[in-house]
Amino acid sequence: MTAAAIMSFLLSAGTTVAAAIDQDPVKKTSNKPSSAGDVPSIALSGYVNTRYVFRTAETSSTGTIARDQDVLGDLRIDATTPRSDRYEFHFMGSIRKDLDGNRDLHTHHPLEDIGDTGSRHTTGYLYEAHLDINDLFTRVTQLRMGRQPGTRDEQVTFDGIAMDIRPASSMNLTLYGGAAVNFFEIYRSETRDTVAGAGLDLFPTTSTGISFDYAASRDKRNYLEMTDVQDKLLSLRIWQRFTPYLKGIVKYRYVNDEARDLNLRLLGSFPAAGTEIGASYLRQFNIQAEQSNALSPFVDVVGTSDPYQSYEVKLRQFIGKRYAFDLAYFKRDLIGSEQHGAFNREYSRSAAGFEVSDLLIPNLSLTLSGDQWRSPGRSFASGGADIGYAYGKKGNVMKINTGTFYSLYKYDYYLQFGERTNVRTYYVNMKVPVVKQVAVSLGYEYEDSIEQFQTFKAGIRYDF
Amino acid sequence: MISKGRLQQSRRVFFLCMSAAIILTAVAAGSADKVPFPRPDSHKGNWEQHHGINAQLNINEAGQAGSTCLTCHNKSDCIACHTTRMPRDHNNFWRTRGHGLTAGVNRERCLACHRQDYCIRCHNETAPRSHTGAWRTRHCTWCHFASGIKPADSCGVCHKIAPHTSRPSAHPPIGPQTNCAVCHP
Repeated sequence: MTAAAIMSFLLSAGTTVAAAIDQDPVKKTSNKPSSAGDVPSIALSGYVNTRYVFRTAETSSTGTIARDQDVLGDLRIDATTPRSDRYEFHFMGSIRKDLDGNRDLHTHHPLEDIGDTGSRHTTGYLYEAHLDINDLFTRVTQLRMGRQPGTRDEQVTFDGIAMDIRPASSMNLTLYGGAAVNFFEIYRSETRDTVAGAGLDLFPTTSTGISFDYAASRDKRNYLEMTDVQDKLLSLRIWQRFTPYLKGIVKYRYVNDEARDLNLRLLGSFPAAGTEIGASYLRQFNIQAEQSNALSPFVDVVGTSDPYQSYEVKLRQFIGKRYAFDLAYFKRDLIGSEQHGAFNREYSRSAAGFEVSDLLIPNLSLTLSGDQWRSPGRSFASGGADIGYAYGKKGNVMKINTGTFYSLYKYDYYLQFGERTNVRTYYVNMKVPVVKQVAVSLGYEYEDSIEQFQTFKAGIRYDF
Repeated sequence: MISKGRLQQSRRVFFLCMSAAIILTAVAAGSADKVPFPRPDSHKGNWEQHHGINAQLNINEAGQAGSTCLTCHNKSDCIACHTTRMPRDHNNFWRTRGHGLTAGVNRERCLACHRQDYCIRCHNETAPRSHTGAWRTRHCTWCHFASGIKPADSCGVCHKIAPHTSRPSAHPPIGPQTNCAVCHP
């Protein structure tokens, strides 16, 4: 879909929303109707969200002020047919119009970002637009047609067809294929990418699952005149639920007939004790060179990825109904590599947080957080506080949040000249319902880092 | 034969009509109240930031229906939120420099949302902070500082092939004191 088409889409949506605001709220349907006759033939939900963003950047040394204005919009529609449960339609799209950004490739502008790339000021992204048919044939539980996010091992958005088949009650087979969608590729000729695959899920017991996945992707390349990339990914995933709230996952993957990585995870929740835990181990066995866009560990940009292993532990503990604290630790070690490169490093991260609900008055919350990571030649530390207040009933809640963050980056591009940057951020955000299903959002942020940045956001959202 | 401009105009009109029709249908048909009961207690406070463990624990496995999350949420809620909301540390410093420091130590985190084309697009079509003022005359020592042979790692993010990599072997060593402009005005 072209950007202009999406823009017109959202403009028409905005007009309709404005009209809806003036009218009485439409009678809502519910998932729990009082009788079968109340079940609507079509149920729609979703939202239209538009916002205006104004940013400035002031350079301390020269006092020069740069400005940038953007308009952004999102539209989401989920349509179902509750009576027959036969058809579903899902749509998710975003649009962005850059009102005055810098598009010169050769000069730095302190506010330019991904929205300022390319030759067009208006950019649209269509994430989902697929029609699903449930129980089309015996044992074909769902057929999905259109642009859709992959549901299997790798998240690849594609334009095509996917089919879920249930040959037996303890077995599921998914087949899919189509044109891979890479949203930010530069050249139109690079967009002729394809992806196809199959996934088989077996459930020997209700607490155990085994999944086999095969995916083949072909990535058309123009960047740096590289040749096209074709990859085959094989993965085996086993999950076991030990108790209703304790689950272990093992995943082993091969790429192009070579072992890629092993991932172990343990996830648990103990409601009686108010504890949530997560632990994981990841090991990449071999050097990963360039692969297709969906699989590449950013090799084109930061070079090959050296073998490593990482450990992560997370703990969230509730104390009573009002208090919670969080602890997290992550460690990454290189394997068999004597030299650290700029983008292959050992790294450790520690994080902690504390949260109080109903502080002094109901629905007032306070969150404190801290974060620190270290890596040879680089380190980072941050601390922040956030106060939030919510008022109102479901679907009509006013929220306000204000807070501050401080970050310190230390890094050495050259060992002789270590650099350090202090980043201080202050913000206030609020969401105010104006009528039922329509809310206005306002936000302001001040960031003092390399420049003094100010960001003002104003938006309106209609949920239907 | 229909001209290209007219074809594009027809497409715009078509999509305008289609979009208006969809929105009007949405409003006319009414809306489905997806959640028939209040939010669970677990969703209080900073739930958005800490929902990850619960999501991985309770989301339905492929081919299995009836998980806790899907009682209230749609399957596409995850991608809708993760594609439109940024993590808290993605501020302006992050955009201009911080992301590069983090990509060097934990590029796996980037893969949760981004793919390689995102990086290439921005690095190919925007200029970094260092490329201001008299950059052309300053860039020699920036790139060749210290070793004099191996270019600095940050240059290679965008410049895979430098125009002068085929310098003659007789080229004198390059260092901080080298005045490149003597030979390369």
